[in-house]
Amino acid sequence: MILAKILILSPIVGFLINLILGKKLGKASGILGTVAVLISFICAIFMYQKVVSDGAYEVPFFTWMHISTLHIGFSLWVDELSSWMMLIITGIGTLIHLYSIGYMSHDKGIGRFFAYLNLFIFSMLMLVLGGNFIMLFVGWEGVGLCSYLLIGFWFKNVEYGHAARKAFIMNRIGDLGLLMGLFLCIQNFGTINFNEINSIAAGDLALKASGQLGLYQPYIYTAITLCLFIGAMGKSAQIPLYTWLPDAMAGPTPVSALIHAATMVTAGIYLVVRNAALFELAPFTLNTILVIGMATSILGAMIGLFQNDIKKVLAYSTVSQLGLMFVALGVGAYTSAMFHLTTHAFFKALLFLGAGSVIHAMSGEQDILRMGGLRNKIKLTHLTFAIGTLAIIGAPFMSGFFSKDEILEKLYNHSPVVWGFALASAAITIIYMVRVYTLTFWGKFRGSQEQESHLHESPSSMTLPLIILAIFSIFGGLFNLPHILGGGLSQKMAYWLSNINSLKVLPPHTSHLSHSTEIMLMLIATAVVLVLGSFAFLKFKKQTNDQLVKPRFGFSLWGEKKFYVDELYHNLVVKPMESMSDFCFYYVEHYFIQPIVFGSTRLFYGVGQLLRTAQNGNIEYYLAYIAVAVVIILTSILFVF
Amino acid sequence: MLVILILFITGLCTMFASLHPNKALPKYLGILGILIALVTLHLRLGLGLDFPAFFTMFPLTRIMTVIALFLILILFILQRKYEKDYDWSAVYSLMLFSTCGVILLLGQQNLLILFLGIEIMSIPLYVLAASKKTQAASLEAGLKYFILGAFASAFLLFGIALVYGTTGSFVMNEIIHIQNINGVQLPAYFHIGYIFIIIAILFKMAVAPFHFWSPDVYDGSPTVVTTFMTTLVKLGSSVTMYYILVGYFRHQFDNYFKFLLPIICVSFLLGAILGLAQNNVKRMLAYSSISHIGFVLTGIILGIALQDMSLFVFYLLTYTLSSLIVFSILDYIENGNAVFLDHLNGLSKHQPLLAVAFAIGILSMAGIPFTGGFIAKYRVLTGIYQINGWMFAIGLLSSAVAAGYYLKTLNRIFFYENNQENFAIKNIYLVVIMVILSIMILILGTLPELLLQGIHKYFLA
Amino acid sequence: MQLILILPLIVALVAFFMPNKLVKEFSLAFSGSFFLLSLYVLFKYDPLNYYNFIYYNETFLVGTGGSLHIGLDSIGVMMFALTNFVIFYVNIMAWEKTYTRSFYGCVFLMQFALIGVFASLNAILFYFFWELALLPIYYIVYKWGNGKELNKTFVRFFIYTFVGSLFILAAFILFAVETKSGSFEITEMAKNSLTGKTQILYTIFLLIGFGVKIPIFPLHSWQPSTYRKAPAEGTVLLSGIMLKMGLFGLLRWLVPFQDDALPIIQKVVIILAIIGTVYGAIIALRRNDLKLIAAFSSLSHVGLITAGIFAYKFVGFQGVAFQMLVHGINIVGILYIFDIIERSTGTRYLSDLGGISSKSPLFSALTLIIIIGTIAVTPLTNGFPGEFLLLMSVFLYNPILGILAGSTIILGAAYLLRVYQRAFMGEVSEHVSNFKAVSAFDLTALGFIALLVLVLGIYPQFILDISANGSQYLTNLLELKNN
Repeated sequence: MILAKILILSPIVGFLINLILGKKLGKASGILGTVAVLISFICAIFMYQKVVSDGAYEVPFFTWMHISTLHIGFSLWVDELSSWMMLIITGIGTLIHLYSIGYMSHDKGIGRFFAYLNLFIFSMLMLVLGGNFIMLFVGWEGVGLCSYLLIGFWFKNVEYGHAARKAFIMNRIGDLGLLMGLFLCIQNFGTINFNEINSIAAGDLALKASGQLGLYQPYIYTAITLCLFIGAMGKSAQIPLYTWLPDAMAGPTPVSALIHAATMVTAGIYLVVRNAALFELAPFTLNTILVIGMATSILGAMIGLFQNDIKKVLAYSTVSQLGLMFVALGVGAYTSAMFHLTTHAFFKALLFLGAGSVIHAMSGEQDILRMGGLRNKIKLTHLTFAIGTLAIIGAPFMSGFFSKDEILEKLYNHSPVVWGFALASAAITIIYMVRVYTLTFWGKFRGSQEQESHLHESPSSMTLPLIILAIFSIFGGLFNLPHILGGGLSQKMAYWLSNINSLKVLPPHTSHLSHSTEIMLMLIATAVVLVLGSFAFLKFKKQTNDQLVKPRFGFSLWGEKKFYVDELYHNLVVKPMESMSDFCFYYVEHYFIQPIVFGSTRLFYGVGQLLRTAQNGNIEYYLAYIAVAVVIILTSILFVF
Repeated sequence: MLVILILFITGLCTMFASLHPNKALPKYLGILGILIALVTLHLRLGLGLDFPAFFTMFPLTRIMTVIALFLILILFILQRKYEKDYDWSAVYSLMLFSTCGVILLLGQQNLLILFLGIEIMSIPLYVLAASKKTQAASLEAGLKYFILGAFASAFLLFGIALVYGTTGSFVMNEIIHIQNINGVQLPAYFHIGYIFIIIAILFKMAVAPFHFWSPDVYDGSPTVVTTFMTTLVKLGSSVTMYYILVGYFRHQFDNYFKFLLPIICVSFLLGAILGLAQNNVKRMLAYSSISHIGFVLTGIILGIALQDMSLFVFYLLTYTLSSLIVFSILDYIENGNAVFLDHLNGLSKHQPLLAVAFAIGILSMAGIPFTGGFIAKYRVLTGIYQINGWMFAIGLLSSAVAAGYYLKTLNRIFFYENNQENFAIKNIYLVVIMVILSIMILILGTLPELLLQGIHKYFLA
Repeated sequence: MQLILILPLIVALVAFFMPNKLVKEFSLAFSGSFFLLSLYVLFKYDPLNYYNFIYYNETFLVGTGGSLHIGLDSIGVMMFALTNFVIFYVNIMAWEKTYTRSFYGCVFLMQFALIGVFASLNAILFYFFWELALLPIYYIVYKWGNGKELNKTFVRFFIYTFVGSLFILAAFILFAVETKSGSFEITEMAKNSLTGKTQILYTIFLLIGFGVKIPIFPLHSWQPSTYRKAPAEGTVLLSGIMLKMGLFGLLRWLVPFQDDALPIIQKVVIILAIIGTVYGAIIALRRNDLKLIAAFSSLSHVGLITAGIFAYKFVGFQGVAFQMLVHGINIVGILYIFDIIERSTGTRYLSDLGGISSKSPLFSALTLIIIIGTIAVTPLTNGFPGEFLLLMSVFLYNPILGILAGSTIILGAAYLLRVYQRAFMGEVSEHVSNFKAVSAFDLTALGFIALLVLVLGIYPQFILDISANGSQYLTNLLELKNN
């Protein structure tokens, strides 16, 4: 219990100290921030052990809101899933913090930066530890807010500000979905506690398994899960809400690493896994997830193929990988998705931090067309980046190989067509990642003289995290080795996670794949990686400067322009919104709202002016009026009464 | 009757006192006379002088007489800046004579006294209206008032003649008795006479559509005369209307009160809408008074229907008080004769207390809570709702529209810059009296029961 | 304790006659102590005893049905505290400016009237205070307002509010006459009920009367221009507390008397309120004038509160009570910020602003907290509990409307962050380049609001406990009448 409290409070204390004293602390704020997260990490390790040995438990803090029957406790729920997420968040978070000490050492706002980072970690911990939807929502909004703060960290740049705002608003669209899902839960189940919702879903699952109708109509589950998925879409950057993620590159590179690897984007996956039982009751939603995940995966990969900004490529690769995870969720392979999430966290953090190191070396240059031949200049970065690349493309026996393979296997089990698409996405991934790697580190240096003279390896606070992450990127697969290779470690992670409430109640997963098929799939994947990888490596290595900068046309131009999705959104959503705003203000207000009162005052004025003419000061008229009035009165009395 | 005598004698004295070189003498004599009259009323002297068939001091008469004396007292006490170059002796005495007429009306028992009262009240007014001899507008006002007034008197006389022709009596009790006996069998020309009398009084009250004289006369007359007209004359004619409806022709009330309702509605609306289009404050307030007298008339009708006189008495009291404030301050402001909106600009900067008092008077007219006007209007409106929902709506509408022009005057006073110098003259009497009057209005608005109970105790116990 | 109610009147009278030099300090001191006093009252509120501290019943206004029947119930006590808070902040904002004594007198008169509105348990008394509250604000708006066509703006404001209050009066008269009770005591009124057409009339009249003040779409046309032309303090009074009069009026004088619950009117009002919510937010998206943004933001937020009232649910009432308080706090904060910007840069147009963050980091940090609190549904800020409950109540009433209303969490973020981004981020603009340092006085005052944003967000239960009583009362009443 006390561990959980330390875990959650440590980053917030770090946040407060950094926020208030950030200016005075200077560089010490970085160390403070890192230590704060490290403490959390240590707590997380102990907590994980405790959970594995003793089972899940709840940590109540206080009653946050209590509205008639709805009791919203400020409480944490520690089980295998949340503590696994906790480990990733705090572990990778610590490394990113450590890295940031070096990366941000020249920035004046370093105290503020670490404050936000700590707040980010805190929010993310809230998100995964929350025992009910509201607590999750607290973290959910919290990371959105922190991402806003961090993306717009360099506030003097207007573009960055736009990117930050875009990220926040896109997330908000997702949040609305989540909120509606939450309301639907309250409306139908009367609770927002994950465990209670889970047991309701479990009951219905059991009824369904025995061929009976559930307590609740299927459409309720569909509606709830669709809403939740919209929330997940926003946070995990799925079509159509993915465009904020590449723009989020505006923030300092460690922030990108944090958002893309360990936190924020994983929230969507986590949400689905946390409520797997609900999703299992809504096949329609699962199919939707499958389709959208697949589309996102391929679209992200395609756009990544044509980008020249090193961080943009990595960002689209994240979009693509997240798509892959959602595909896995769509076929019900929850633990596989979690596995890939884990390995992805390692190598994507590694890649981003590596990219950061490259950018650091290149004095802020992000365009890969202006890099090249860096392998000799920044050797350690090169080595670790190479490992990261190998991991993400799924080179044999790297962590990415196992996790991707597991997903592909599950997909093949579901349907070979889906498998084919996923494989295609993976294949594109290979090409663009090798492209980035090759263009950056091989060939000749294409940057300016000045940049070349400044080239230097990053300080050790930056390389140390790279090395650690590289080790994990290689060996991360050990967490969940496939059966055929497994031995004592086989499916360890799946075993752990199967204990959590939402997965425990699912029907046992039946695989009808034989060992030989599994091996065959693995071999195909390996072959693709080797063939495409070496082909791409050779192709891009040889490309000359002219070939690179040659203007694009046709499909690749579309790709470079990100298929004009941003422009599409701008014209379809932003512009109409703005014109609507102006229309309402200049026309509706002016011609519809205002006349309500001015029309009536004018009427009275008009009538008044008209009647005034009767009062013309001539006494004979007055006498006539009186006479007429008397006549009218008398006649009316005579006739009416 | 004794009060009337005292006032009459005072009037004569003031008239002769004007021969004295001291210009202030008539005024002090007048004040003295009024005070004596008040004391007589308090001591209930002279009750034996009443003539049951002509004039009786009803409790209502006593209340109204006190109010009337109070009003005229204040009119007298107020010091006017142009007092020196304007012959006031005649004004004072004429006002006193007119007041005699008003009091006569308050206690009438007889159609002849009614006619007499109306004439005694009106004839000095014709002269008063024209009393600024140097100004054409004043003369025009006097002439107009006279001609139209004569017209109305003719109606009244004709009505009285018809009624006398059928009933053979002028006396209230006898007329009531005859109607009692005959029931509906009275000849048609009795009814026509009745209607004619009512029309004549409506004219005196300036109810639309018999209101045409009032904007012109209010505007043209010297402001002090206008003040007199909106306070005392309204008081007298309203009470007369009450006597006619519930006294002489009690049995006709149920048959005929409905024909007054459209007239009231027209008054509400005309008063509100026409006032909106005015720049001349006195004309504006003339229209406002048309609207208000509509409320008074409603109050009378309701008072009869609900057996609650206090409705219209209270309304009259608050209305006369607030118009006393407003017109007295206009009197202070006026430059020449007419008062335009521009003349009000920036009063609050120079005379903050006067401005606040004026505001309270205006707010009371507008019927804003915490002023007597609200209570009065509210009670009448509640009553109207019981009679007719649409009339209630029109009443509210007229209040809303009228609020528009009341607001205009307040805006001028508080928010505009002054462009003339005539606010510099300090007038301590005016300020003190206005403050007292405005406090009275506030008391009427917050603790009306104090007054109502006090009246009850004093007059009816 | 009843003295609390009369005290502002006395202070107002004193302020009217004070020398201009001293009145500023005097007012600040008094409004500050009133605020502390109201905090004491708030903390001591005992939910078991319905009318705490302040309860008084005395005959008054005989012959009109009015009586001096006052009491602060659970939601009333919150509004009482909010009134004192807002008045305190008005005085704080006025500190840097040169106002004459009549301003302070009006402010305290207003306080007196507002507290009266929130404490009245008699319809006529309520109407008295309602009208009294309007007079000082007219004066403040016109006297210290500026800009072109002030007169026109003012006339519009006056007509709307005055006609609105006549509707309220009409509704009360209607109630008393039609139920033949003639009583305006809330306790007596609750025993009677209107039926059929008269009930519809009563409801519509009150909706118009209160709706103008709130304002409910489409009765809001006075609002943007008045906010724009009024002095900052006037705007604070209008949106911080005066619009709560309308909401409170609906809660106290309309909801308990809804016998047949009038489903059609309920639906119409909710739809109008939600149209207003979305409409206001959409307009705010593109406005250049900070005060216009505040106006339309207010329209948007208040629409949601209105919808919450008419959802007729316990959660809704809880949300309404909470959000009324929070909107008051946050909008004061926002307007205060805008005022500081205007004072320091001489402009309040977004196009002229930029880069304030570089000039005054602390100020921008506080601004960010308050803005985040104002953006709907951000957890751990005070904007969360209220709006969450409101959205929930609307959603439970009708999911489609719930989703529409929910769009405000997106739009709200969009327009408020736009303000922050344009004004505070980016390069320092020409107007901002000689940005005067924000004084420690202002920063402390803003800091307190920011603190409230966080404290109420982290521990909302304190307020929810207080309002639970009132919400439960309304819910029970409605259930009782519907069954």
